[in-house]
Amino acid sequence: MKRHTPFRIAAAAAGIAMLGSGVLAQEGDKEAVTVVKVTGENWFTRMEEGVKAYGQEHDGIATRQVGPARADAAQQAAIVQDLVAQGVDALAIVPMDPSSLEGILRRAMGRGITVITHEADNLENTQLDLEAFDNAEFGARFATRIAECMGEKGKWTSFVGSLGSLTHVQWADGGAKYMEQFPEMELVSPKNESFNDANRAYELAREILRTHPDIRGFQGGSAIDVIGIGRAVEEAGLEDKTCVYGLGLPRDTSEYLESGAVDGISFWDPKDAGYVMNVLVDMTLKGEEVESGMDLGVPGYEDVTVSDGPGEGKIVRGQAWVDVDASNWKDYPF
Amino acid sequence: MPELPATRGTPFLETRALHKFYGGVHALRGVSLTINSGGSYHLLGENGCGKSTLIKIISGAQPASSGQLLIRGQDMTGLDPIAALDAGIETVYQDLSLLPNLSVAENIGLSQQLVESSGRLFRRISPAQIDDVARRALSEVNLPTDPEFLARQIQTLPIAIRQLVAIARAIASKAGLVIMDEPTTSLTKREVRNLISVIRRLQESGTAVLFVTHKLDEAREIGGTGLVMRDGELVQQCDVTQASNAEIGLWMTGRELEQGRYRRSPGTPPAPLMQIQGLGLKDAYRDIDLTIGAGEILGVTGLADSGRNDLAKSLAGLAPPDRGKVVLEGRPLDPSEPASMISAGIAYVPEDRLTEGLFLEKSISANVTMSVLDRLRNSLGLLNRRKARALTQKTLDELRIVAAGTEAPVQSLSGGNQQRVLIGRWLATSPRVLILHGPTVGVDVGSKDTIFRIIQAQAENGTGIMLISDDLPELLQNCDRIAVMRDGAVSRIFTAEGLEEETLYNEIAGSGGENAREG
Amino acid sequence: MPRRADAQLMFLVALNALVLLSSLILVDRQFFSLFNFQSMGTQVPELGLLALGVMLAMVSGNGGIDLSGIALANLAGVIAFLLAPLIFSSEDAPAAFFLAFAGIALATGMLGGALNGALIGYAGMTPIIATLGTQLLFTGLAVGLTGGSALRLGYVQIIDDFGNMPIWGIPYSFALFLLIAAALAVLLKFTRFGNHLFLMGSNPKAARFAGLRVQSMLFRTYLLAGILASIAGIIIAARNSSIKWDYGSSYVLVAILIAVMAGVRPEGGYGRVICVVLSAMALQILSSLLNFMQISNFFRDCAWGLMLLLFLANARVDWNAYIPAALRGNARQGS
Repeated sequence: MKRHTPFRIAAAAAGIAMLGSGVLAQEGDKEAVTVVKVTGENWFTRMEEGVKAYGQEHDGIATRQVGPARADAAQQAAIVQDLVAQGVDALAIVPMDPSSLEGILRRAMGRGITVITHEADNLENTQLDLEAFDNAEFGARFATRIAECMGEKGKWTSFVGSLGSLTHVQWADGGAKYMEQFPEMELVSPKNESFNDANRAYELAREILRTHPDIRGFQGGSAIDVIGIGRAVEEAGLEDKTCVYGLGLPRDTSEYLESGAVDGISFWDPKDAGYVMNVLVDMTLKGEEVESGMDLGVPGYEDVTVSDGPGEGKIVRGQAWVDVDASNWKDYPF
Repeated sequence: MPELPATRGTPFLETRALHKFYGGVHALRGVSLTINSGGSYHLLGENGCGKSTLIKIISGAQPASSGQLLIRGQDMTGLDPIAALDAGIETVYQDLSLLPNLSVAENIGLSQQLVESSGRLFRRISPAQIDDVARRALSEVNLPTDPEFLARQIQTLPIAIRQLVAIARAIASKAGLVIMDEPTTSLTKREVRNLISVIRRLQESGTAVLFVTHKLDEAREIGGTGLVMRDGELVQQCDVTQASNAEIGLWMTGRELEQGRYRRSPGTPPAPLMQIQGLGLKDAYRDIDLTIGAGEILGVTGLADSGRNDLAKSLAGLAPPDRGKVVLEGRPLDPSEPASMISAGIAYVPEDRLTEGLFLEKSISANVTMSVLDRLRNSLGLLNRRKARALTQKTLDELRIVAAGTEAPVQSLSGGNQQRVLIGRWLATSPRVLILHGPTVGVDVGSKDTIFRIIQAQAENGTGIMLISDDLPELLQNCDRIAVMRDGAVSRIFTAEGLEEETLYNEIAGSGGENAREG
Repeated sequence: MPRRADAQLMFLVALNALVLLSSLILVDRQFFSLFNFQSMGTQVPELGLLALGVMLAMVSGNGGIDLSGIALANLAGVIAFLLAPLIFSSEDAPAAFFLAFAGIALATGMLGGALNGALIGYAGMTPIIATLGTQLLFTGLAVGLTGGSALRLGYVQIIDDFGNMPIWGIPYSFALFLLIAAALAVLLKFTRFGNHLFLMGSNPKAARFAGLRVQSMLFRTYLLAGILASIAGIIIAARNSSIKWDYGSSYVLVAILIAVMAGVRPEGGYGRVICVVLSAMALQILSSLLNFMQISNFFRDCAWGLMLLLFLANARVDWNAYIPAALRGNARQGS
């Protein structure tokens, strides 16, 4: 395996390009590349911090993150394919469309490349899939707070990034399952697709408020859903009358948390997820096994559950959720 | 502003041994001539002889490669267009060079503004001054001078009026020399006569005029010196009222051109080939009964609104008639689409070869072979390009087309050659009936001769020919019979041999003789 | 015209060579490995076929374009996925299943292409509007039939091999792409349909006057583009072993970029298959090179835009003007 040399980095920098993130590596370092769904989104920018941090803190491994400019599965697949052709040592992937990567990942493992994934617990061709938590449980936790806020009766709805985003669908379904115990809670227009676009989430929320003027509960899926919903709620002046909970990032959602348009958000720190993915990469490269109960050195992943995945790999789950509302969002710098 | 023109008879412009090279092509070979103030000159020659190049050099659009250009005795070699305007040279190009979204007055005042502000249009002279200038110029060409007309946008005016406005602009500035390139193409006879009187007045005030034209009759009416060019050289200067068409044709082409009839009428009457019976199309034409015999040439003519254009279109399958029928060798034809008429053996060579006939960017070969590709297949059923090239080369040879090879793009050819390529395509289909619509419009004298010979040869082979044309001499020289249409019907059918042009002309024009296009 | 066409071809060959050679300097030798060439080779066909479809639409003139290509490709995959298991099982009879899959996908492509052809050829709709409409229609059908989720084919060896594996060193799908391109080139250059297509695109009025059946030809053009799109759909399904309604959403514009960079005239009447193939290859090599160089994906769009501008500038510049007069041998200008 050839490595980057300072010359090559200088040559690349001499071009007008924006370099993907990278750590200056030494000869003999293993090359681990993290491939995310899309670059430029706040979420994955935060994840990159964790990815880089791992490489800086540990010898023998060089970490970097890449991702397509657009949220298009074909573009992500092209990047993965080129990395396989380049012969990197390990891939840590957050797949846009898990099933379309099955083939290339199988070939990657066939070439001896270590494959770790995140947010893809239905993927067969992976050695380890990292989940920050159990998705159904995460969804249910939103529903718990929505139900509590609404007094366990009324109409509520759920949003997803897209019907193809597996984890978002699992959260929405987890929330819905929790709500089944309340006969007076009515789910309308489930799993509205925002396509990771805050404007679209806003338009959809407005439409729902129009169609169901008595609706009170909103569960967001993609991190921008609560932003769009919050904006619509604020516009309608319904901050105090609605219960909006969902995935979100503190900084982005702060305005709506303060005004009460969004009642609470939860997330898992993508920085930790990026870091832990590379922990798993390193362990696998060294041939170490991950077992239930292990402490991976990062809060939320100090007592992981390991179960069998659909293929030959395993699923590693933490309990890495973080709940944030108006009172504590300032504690988080992202 | 230019000075007043010099006294009549003194030299205004002189060229000495002008040469021009475009790359490796020697476009002008040592042209030396003198243009006197108040004189009229006619630049005659085939397409490609160097006329346009000479004009471009005189008007400053192109610099000469060598030689001198003197204006009023001063060396102005290498002048640019603004300097030319300043020196008093105005040009009316074939495309008129009017600005369609500006008003009549603004266009007429244009050259003056350009000169005053050294080519920049931002510092304008006052609108009142422009209107003044415009009014004077318009009255010279007998166009209205009311404010409404002055304010009319050029793009709203019909082409004939535009041509007069372009001429008005040229004479607005009291030029020393006015150059006009084919100025009468869209004018009626009355307008042409009007223009001639304007030109006389110009000459009287000392302005020289230089025409580029194909129309010898008009040139004769204006009078003056004929400057005949061939292959970049000025081969002959003559008094245009004295020289005969034959002489001028010989100087222009170096060949003897037929002056009388091309048509040798056959002894026996022709066998009927195509019959048009009671054909009618609403708001276009009605009750058309015509026959074309095998090997016969039937001319069809009439004013623009006589319905003859629609009749041509109907026979081509482009405008299905609602009454009557067309019968070819006893079989009725289906005129609902071009393809069926073509496969029946009717070939229509359209009026506008550039937009309706040719595929300009494509090769000569593509244009010629397109209708007969089925015949050029090899055993696999695929196109045999060698056969295609052979057919194209045969066409080039038989029709005497001058081109840089079979794959040269058609747009690289002169008008006359382009027209022959188009005719060649249709000849390749071995049609039973060939309909030609204005086949020699915009075609030089030499090409015209060749095209006439081609038409005659086709007739001799037994093809029936319908020749639709405005060019009366052309009809008289080529046809057996001539059908005149008027107001949508056939008014009279003449025998061409021995027919006087005046008679034909009167039948076409009917009551409104003055309004006929000269053609 | 021949001279101009060669210049375009030379430009594309030079571009391919330039990108390949710069890879030797800029990235490690992995780029020049057989595996990487095969890897790049499997990625070209789907975009290349869509670009050929766009080329056909553009050549036919009339403002020709096909925006519905990738949507139809995905729909073809979806319908084939849903119907093929009803005939054959992918586990018991993989080869027969694949054939059925391909056949149904092709049939879908023909229907979709026929719809485009009917709207544009016979109903006289503007191509950009018509194919925008059918794009939405095909996408909507695909979403509706799948509920938005991806359809997993699972690992069927014969299908996966076709999508990803080489035969005699060349990936199956790339070889198929080259064969299709060659057949299309023969069609365009040596058949009456092909020759007439270029003429029609060059001057539709003259085409009509000359008796060409313009409506029928437009119909056949878009039908052909639909078939090409469905083949792209088969290849996508084989490559990824999964079908999703929104796969390759960025492909619409990239296919157009490839066609334009290949010198296809958007106004109609001119385009060369070999140039489209080279153009698709150049884009792929550059894309992979940028990935190897770890250059951000954002720059890739920038690089493609730059290439397009370079190409357009190359077309505008008359290189002859810079050659000294003594060496020039131009045809006569003016008279």
